[in-house]
Amino acid sequence: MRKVGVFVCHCGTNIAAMVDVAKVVEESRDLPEVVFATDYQFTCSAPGQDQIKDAIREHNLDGVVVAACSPRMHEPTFRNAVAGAGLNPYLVEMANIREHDSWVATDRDEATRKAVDLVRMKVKKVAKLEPLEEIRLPVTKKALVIGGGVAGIQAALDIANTGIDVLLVEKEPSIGGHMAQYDKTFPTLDCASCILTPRMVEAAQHPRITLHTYSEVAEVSGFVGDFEVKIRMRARSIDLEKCTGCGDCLEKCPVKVPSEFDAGLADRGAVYRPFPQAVPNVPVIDREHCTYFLKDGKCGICQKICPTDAIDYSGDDEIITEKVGAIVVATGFHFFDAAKYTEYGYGAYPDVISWLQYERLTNASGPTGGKLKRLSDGKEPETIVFIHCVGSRDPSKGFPYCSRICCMATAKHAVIARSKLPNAQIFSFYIDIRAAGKGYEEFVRRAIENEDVQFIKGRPARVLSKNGKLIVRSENAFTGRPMEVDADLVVLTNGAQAQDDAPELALILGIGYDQYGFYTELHPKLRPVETNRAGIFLAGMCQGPKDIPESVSQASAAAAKALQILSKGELAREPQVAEVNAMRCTGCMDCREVCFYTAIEEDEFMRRKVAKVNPGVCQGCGACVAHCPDGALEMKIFNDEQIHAEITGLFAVPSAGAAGGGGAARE
Amino acid sequence: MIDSIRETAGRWLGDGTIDAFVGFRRREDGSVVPTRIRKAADARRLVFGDGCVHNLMSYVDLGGEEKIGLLLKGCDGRALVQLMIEGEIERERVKVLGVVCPGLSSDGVLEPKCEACRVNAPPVYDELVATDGVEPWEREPSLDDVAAIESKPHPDRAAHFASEFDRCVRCYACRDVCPLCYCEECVTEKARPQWVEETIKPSSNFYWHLIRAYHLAGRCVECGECDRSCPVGVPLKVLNRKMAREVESMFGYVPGVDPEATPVLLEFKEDEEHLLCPGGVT
Repeated sequence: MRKVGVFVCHCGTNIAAMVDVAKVVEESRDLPEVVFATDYQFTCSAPGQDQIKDAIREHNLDGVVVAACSPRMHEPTFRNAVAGAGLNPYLVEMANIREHDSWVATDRDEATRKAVDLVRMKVKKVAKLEPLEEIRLPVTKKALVIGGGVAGIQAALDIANTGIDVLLVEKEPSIGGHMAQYDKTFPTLDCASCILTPRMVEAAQHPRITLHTYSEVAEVSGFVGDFEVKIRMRARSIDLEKCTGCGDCLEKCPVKVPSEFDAGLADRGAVYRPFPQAVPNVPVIDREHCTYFLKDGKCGICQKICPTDAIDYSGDDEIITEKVGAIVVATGFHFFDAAKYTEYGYGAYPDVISWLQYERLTNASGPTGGKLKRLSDGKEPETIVFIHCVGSRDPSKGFPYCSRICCMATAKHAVIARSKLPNAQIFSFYIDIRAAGKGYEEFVRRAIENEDVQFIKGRPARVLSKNGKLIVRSENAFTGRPMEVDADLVVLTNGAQAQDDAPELALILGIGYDQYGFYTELHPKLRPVETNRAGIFLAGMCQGPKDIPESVSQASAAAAKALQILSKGELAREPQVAEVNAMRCTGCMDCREVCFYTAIEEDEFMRRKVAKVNPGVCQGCGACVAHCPDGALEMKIFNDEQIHAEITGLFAVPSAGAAGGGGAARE
Repeated sequence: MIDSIRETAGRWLGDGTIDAFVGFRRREDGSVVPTRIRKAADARRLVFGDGCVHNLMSYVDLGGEEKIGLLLKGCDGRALVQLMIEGEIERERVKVLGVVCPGLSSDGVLEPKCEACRVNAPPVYDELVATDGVEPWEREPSLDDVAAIESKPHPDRAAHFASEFDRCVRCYACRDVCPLCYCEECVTEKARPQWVEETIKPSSNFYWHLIRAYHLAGRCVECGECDRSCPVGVPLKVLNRKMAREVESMFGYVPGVDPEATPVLLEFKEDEEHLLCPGGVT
């Protein structure tokens, strides 16, 4: 018989306040398998772990039950502790008497009885556990970074600077992301391009970074340390090697399309690069708008004038396959469509503009050369109104969350407006000012006190157009009265939203996302950059709204996490994988259909087809085990015999002496 | 009709298209039994008509390599289709001689299994034998037996089945005759752990029949062989038909009809209506 030790944790008062820990210890001593039982205030602490190690050595334990919290956090802790005493780490089980018991119970006797039951179940299960060995797998020393905004660039550089190869994949023709569109950055007002473009160039020229712009990730298979990635490289129609970036083609293209980069304030050609400092500096041909593609080979002007013969209309999208060991997802965000607030007249009134349009209007390299003017008549605005929280903190529009960056961005916009128009009247309508960050509150105070920006607490109800003026109607929460401002320019600070195709990419990557489409971290506090799929990490806005410094910090964190994998020659994987009992398998291969990780292969047994699990690929999710119609699949550590032992353990010995009428329910 | 059955089976065996043919023959006492023949000359003994109630798919060794010819009625054909859908048999492994079944009677009374008939010819076949005056059809079968069960309140239903299961002798004829009950090792045979007690007693009888009903949900083709084979008359057909109705109402899936279908439990729709709350359960 197994010799099992039971260690009951108080978790401070988390458990001990609701569960009679001494009684749990005492009752578990009555079980025939248990040769040692004790309790401690914090079993996860160093002395707590030593208690386990000492007991293993002293009592020759070959099974351990830790009655404490959920295994999510501390199962690895106790596996390590047990291994430290020379016992196989897979001979330990945790009885969750905190989340499943003390935290949810209201009656101390009932909670104690339940803890005794939970411990007994685990003792019976431990008696059926088998020692397991870790699975060791080789690591492909290459990283994939998806998204070439500021976060993706940072992650790529951090990884590449350790000497590891990086593939940086960007959907747009150039890296840079939204930051490349901004004029200045808060709270220091340094020019966004001046700090970003050198990074873009550094990434492009880095010997360890391979850049794939105008490209998307189409497929990801494999597993941590050994992913196989298919990248769809959209046909650029311009040879990256031959093109010198001279820009002649851009001048001559007869097509006019609103420029995405300039937020529709200027036009671009069908052959275009988003902005002059684009990296790479090679344009693309937008086939959806190009005359050559729309009218069967008519036009062809760019090809005729290209001095280096770089233009090729014949190429198709190309799919390349790459192996990588880790993936950083930094796909960013997009701005809320301000037109959804019909009450503010965006799209109807030319002088109601969005955040991004304002950035382009004030940017020295923007369509007006940095001159802040009205789109309707080109006049300088005398009164400017900024409206916060357009698409943020508004459950009625389906976006109850705070976009986190808009308060500061609006303060920045207002300060920029003041620097350009010293005599203008500037209003900023807000719900609350959220300026938690280094130097942020000071910056907002500067806008209010030094730059004469009138911050008014109130959510405007409507913007109307009257005699060439925009009438902003709002409540003023301080006076409690309605107010109106006659404005020349209204800037809507539209919030941040997850990318439209975020759920699609999540499916390709096999990672989770929340109801708004933001990717879900593995643990909100302790694993903020990891995802549910090992080896895939998150950086920047794709995980939730955050500003540039936070995005960059998170990118470095994601890079560090990726490097934990990439710096090793091989990875140890937990051996909790599914296993086929070939005797029972009928070879229907349904398991292969339900396996998300493509871990099921075909095999032959006694001259018939059966399924086989590749333990290196299996993630132990259990989908195949639950599905198998013949009960031929079992999960190591959760096999039928072990679960059966737990169940019979629960019903075997009704715990005596506890109050309440529970006895009748457990015949 | 019988002539063309004999001719086709003989031809297939004669030219080596198949290694064996499974059909029916008449014994000296006049009763009809399934038979497996291997010589073309034996094809002259094949018969078809009243008494040919057996589902001949039960006689196909799913793991085998022999190429088998089969005489299949509509209900038998649905079992073949369902086995194909479940990946248990390749279509190429069997040659199907379908019959347009006129409905089988015993002493002038329609067989109970024929009342539940949905399709009178197999959904897939290589050759089809016509029956005089009978066109191939598909129909919504009568649900009178299921309706009778559903009209009872839940406690009465439970009591009804408990008393029916009570006389089960656990011979497992229902399991062994069922063409869809093909697990290599039945849950009743598993010893580590032993989920189901093997002794005859009300609780383990109940448990066995519920397990089987659930394992057949979305798979049973309602051929009624379990019901017909039971030596103590446990009404298994109505139980399985009730389960089939539940699956059909929840997922719109009828087993064994469309060879291109995906098994209902293998399909997942993100907007699955009945994912969390199985509606339509009465």
